[in-house]
Amino acid sequence: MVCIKCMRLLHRLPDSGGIFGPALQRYTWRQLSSTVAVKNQTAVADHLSSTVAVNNKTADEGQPNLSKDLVGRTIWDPKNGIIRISKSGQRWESVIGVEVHAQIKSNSKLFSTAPNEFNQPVNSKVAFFDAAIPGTLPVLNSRCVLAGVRTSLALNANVNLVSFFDRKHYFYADLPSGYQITQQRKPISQNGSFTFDVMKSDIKKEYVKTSHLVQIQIEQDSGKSLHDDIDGQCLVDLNRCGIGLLELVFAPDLRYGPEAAALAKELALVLHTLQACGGRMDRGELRVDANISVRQPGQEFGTRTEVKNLNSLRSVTDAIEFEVWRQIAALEDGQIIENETRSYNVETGETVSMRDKERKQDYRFMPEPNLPPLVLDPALINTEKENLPKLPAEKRSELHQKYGINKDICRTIVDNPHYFTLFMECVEYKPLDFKSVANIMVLIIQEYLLEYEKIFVSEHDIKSSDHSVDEIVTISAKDLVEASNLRMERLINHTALRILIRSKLDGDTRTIIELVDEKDLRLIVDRKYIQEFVDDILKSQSSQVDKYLTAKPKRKARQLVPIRLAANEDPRAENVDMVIFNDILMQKLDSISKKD
Amino acid sequence: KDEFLEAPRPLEGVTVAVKDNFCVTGTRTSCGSRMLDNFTAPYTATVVERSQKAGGIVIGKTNLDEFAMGSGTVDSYCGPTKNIWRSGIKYKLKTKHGTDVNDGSLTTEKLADSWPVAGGSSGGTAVAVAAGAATVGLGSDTGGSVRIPAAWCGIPSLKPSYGALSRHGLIPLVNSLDVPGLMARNVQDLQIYFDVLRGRDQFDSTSVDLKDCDYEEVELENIKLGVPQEYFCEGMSDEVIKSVSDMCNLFSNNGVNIDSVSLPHTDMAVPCYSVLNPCEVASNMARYDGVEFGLAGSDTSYNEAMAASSRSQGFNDVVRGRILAGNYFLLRRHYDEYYLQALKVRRLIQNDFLEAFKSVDYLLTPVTLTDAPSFADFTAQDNRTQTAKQDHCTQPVNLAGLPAVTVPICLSGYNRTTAGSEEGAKRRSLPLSVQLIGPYGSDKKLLRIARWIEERVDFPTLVLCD
Repeated sequence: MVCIKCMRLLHRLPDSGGIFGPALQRYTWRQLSSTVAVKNQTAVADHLSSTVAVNNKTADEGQPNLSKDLVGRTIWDPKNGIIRISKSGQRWESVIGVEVHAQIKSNSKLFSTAPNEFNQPVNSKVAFFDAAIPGTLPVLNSRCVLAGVRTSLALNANVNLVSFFDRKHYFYADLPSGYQITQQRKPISQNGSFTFDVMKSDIKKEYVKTSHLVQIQIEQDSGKSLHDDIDGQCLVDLNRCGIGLLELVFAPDLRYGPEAAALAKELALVLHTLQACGGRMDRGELRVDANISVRQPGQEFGTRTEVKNLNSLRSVTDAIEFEVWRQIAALEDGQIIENETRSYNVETGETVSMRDKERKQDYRFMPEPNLPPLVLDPALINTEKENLPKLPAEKRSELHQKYGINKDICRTIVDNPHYFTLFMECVEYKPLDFKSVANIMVLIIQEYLLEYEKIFVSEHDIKSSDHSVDEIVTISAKDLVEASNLRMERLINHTALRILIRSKLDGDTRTIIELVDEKDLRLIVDRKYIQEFVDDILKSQSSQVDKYLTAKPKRKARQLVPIRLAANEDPRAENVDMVIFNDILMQKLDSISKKD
Repeated sequence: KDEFLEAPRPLEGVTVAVKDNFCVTGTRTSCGSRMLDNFTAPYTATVVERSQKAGGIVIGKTNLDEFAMGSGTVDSYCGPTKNIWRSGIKYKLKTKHGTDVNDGSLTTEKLADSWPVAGGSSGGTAVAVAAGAATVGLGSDTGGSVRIPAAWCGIPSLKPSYGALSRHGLIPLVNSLDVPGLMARNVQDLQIYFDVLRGRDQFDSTSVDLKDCDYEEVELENIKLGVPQEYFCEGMSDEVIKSVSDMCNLFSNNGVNIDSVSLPHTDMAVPCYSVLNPCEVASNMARYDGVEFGLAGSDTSYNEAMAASSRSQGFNDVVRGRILAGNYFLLRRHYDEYYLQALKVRRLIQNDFLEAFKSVDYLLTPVTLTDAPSFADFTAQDNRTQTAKQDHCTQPVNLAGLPAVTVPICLSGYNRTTAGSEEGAKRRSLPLSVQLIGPYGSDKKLLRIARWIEERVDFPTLVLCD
């Protein structure tokens, strides 16, 4: 790959054959042939910018046309931000605004006493109100309001002391009353902002993005329609109908699919931290609608389409990217983009128009007459503000600044609330080294979880966990710190540490010390024993020792490597304190060289 | 049971007639509509439950205009309801003291070629109570649906302050105007019944606890009554006007101050209602798609077809017409012009009352324009025209959420159009009532004044023969 701006190779290529050599051409073409596929793109460095300007110049001057390298690609341009280069070489900007539906975590539904539980027998959690039985009235669940208030505060939004509920009408089998109760005129809060990190991607290093939050509204979830293609029947499950939702409407501030996914990911974590929402996209607890349009940089917004119900981070990214490139292709083909609702097909990776719903719905909003205005006490808002839990961003910076944990590891720990709980519990036990504790979590425990497909739950959350017992593993903070400290005191080596942690995860009830003793994991520090080991190695590596001894001082270190490798391959290396080994080795070599 | 005899509950053994738009567990709750002909309510409305807990016995569900849309109880899927007065059923008129009324100008014979309508939409309850089949009755009042039939059937009624009685279990017409309304054969029964039912209900977020007071504490001296001029509208019969002025005389003879007041926006009440009603109707009726309950249409080929066929087969023209109008008013491009405008007018009407209550304590008005019309006369005009006409004196009260009580005071007089004929030789002999309107929450005070009236007028009691 070559940087077009500075004409420098960024990656070593097999036989590049010069900057514009045939190998490079082939390589880039192969890499760039797929149009959308963000995931297929190879790395383009950050400073690969203003490319098109340079391209045009080179093209004008009759140079090889490098725009081909960028056709169908997304690039970062410091001036315009994220830019798409179409097949015809035109520059486009995509504009993305997301609406997130977050199911409120509450015992009962938003307006009825039916329980809010996932995965229950069909139509078993339905109150008369949820089935729109005539004469029933909504009664607002205060727990849902509190969740809305907390979320609003966490997203720096202005909470409206008075807000209203409205009816939004449309006919659908899974909407029994024929309308959804939502907040259209005045929602619970407005004007917030949400900041999140966008991970390093093919086009840019990790960066921070902020999206303006237009409003948060409290509304009802609908039921589920199940279409039976064989009998041609439509079946309705109302268990979900009436569960409280927070709809978070964000401004069209995003420019790239992965940004939307990053927003959703961080939001899920924030909502989970606030106890406002379970945040699990796989259960439909968090669903993303994306409003997408494209325009040429500097132009007015184009016509947008709405891709509904994206229920995984992968779908968010892929659906948006598909839709962006579809719109670009359509516009360049002379077609018009219709303002429509589209759905995303995970199988094909394409968005399709949902033509069964009226294209331009008139929802015939009207105030919900059965609910008085929602009036909030400023004192309640203040209490909620004071009691807001630590948010993920704050947790990460605390881990990084107070305990010196590397940023990536901070992310892994904070992303999993159980890890964070465990870490903070470990802090109580005053570990000798915080990094070691963190490393045990993200390396040894993480590896174990992947290997056995288990879920980690911190010890005191086990009872409240909704996973089955055989799905979860845990370890106490005390054991973890004890093991970590043994390692820090060099009483055991890393292999032993791994064994200890894995035994505890397996559910071994013995104490760490018992395990160390019974599994014979203690490092051998007996100098006599180690001396013999060193002697054996020196004997077996005598020719290498000679090389070492005769080497010039500067080259000596290099000649030492094979000797150490040989030592590591020896079974005794498993439980010998290699620091002592090295000590003795160096003494021996010293003394031999002096003898000579 | 002995325990109940030792400590009887307020309604122990009292029969209750319930309008068929209140849910009662295990009974059909049809709303007078084919749509809900097969609907058995799975729960009981709060007001019905409170009646039963107080010892009341629900003896039956009573007829109404389909989904309570009407003022005559003539537009029901089950057919029209006849008034008990002069519809061919044999009855006698008794005085308060139990003696026969001895007045040769009165008649109890059937109207020639027709019968008087019961009034609506709570006509079934009104007839049940007037006939003595039930001691007390539950109706619902959105624009006069309790007061009009009570007036035409000659019984007192209460339209409580909005929120004083729970609407939980009342199948709604216009949620923001609906109140369960009460009927009884005398005002004291209304007082007892109201005390049994009122109070906040956890299932209705709009229900409230009104400030309580003892009936006997109500001050009757030094009160000021206002008579709103705008209530005497075109088409109101002279005797209705005279009945109100007779009442004025009665009050002033007893030392009560009477003043004329103005409620300038009264004429706008019906047009305002004509927008608000269809809008909420369109919304409330959206649930009748044949999926969860009610009539499932014959076309089940796809979702929308099923909803459409259920609705066209299940609703009558009146309901369908209002749904259509409501959806038109609620369209984004019409919302401000109609719905929002109607809400503003509603506020003006409410302000009229607030203004009037600065100078007077209560209002005295007619209830209906005439006595009960005959079925033939009533159905000569369509539902919409009749409702617009008949609701003139009752509608503003609902828009303002205020309490109102009606009391029958006399029987109607000679009919000018039939004068000289055999029919015209006798008085029409149909009940006429007056209405008392008070500030929000003054329900019990109104009932006390109504009792005062009841004690002083010679309104005869209807007693069925056999």
